[in-house]
Amino acid sequence: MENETEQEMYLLRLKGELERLDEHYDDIAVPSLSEFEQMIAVESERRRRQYRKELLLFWLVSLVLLSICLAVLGSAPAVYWALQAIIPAVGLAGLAASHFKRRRAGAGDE
Amino acid sequence: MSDEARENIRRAQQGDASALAVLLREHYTFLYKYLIKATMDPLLAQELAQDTMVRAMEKIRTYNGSSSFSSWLITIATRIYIDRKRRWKREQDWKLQEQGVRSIRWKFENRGEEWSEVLDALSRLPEAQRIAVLLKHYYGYSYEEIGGILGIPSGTVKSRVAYGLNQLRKELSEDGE
Repeated sequence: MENETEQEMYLLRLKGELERLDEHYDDIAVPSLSEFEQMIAVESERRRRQYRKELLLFWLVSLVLLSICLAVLGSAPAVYWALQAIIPAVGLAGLAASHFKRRRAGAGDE
Repeated sequence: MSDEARENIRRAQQGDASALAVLLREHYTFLYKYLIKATMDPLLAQELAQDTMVRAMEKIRTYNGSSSFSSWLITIATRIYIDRKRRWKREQDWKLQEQGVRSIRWKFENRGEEWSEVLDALSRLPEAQRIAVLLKHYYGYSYEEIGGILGIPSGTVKSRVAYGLNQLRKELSEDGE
């Protein structure tokens, strides 16, 4: 009972001090509406450019990979089929490892 | 949430830049003040508020209204902050934290107000506990809601809040002695 009252007292004090901190920043300068609009325009232009760049990169990488695959399939089919089996296996193992790592980190947090 | 806010969200999601600007501007102060308390560093808070605004612009279409818009912004901001802290070196982190607290303290003293030992103790808490305590006991979120914001189980939130309060109490009673 006494412990609970003490806890409540600390919480009240904490709340009061945080409110006081908030009051100190009541006068912050909020950017104007036009500044927000400009920020949105700049940001969407940047994203559009980035999207175009990424798309171009995607096509280039796909083209290179496809050419390599076709070349390997034509000259060494055994290597091609071995790679087809190894790559998904390595990917799945990596995923499982990161999953377990994250779970262990979560447990350590509790 | 008011009808006007809901309408602004709907228009912003359809690509109306002015509605998005109004929406973000309305929530800027709330977000900035939250970040000051979460980081205890006004400069960092300002930087994070801007990053959050940019992220919110990118993701506005994914906002589904299951939580309030301000809670959605808090979620984005907190995750950006935690992500950034992970990338910082411990030493640099400590130095920046010190500078942040000093700047808040200066603001208090500049107005002739006494610096608060509660806030001082809060600033010394690890950010995971500080954010959990803040969201629970200042913003009034439930453990489940905080778990959703931080992307962790509610049990972990509960233990972070309990640990944080315990630390605060310990520090305050030590200071009082």
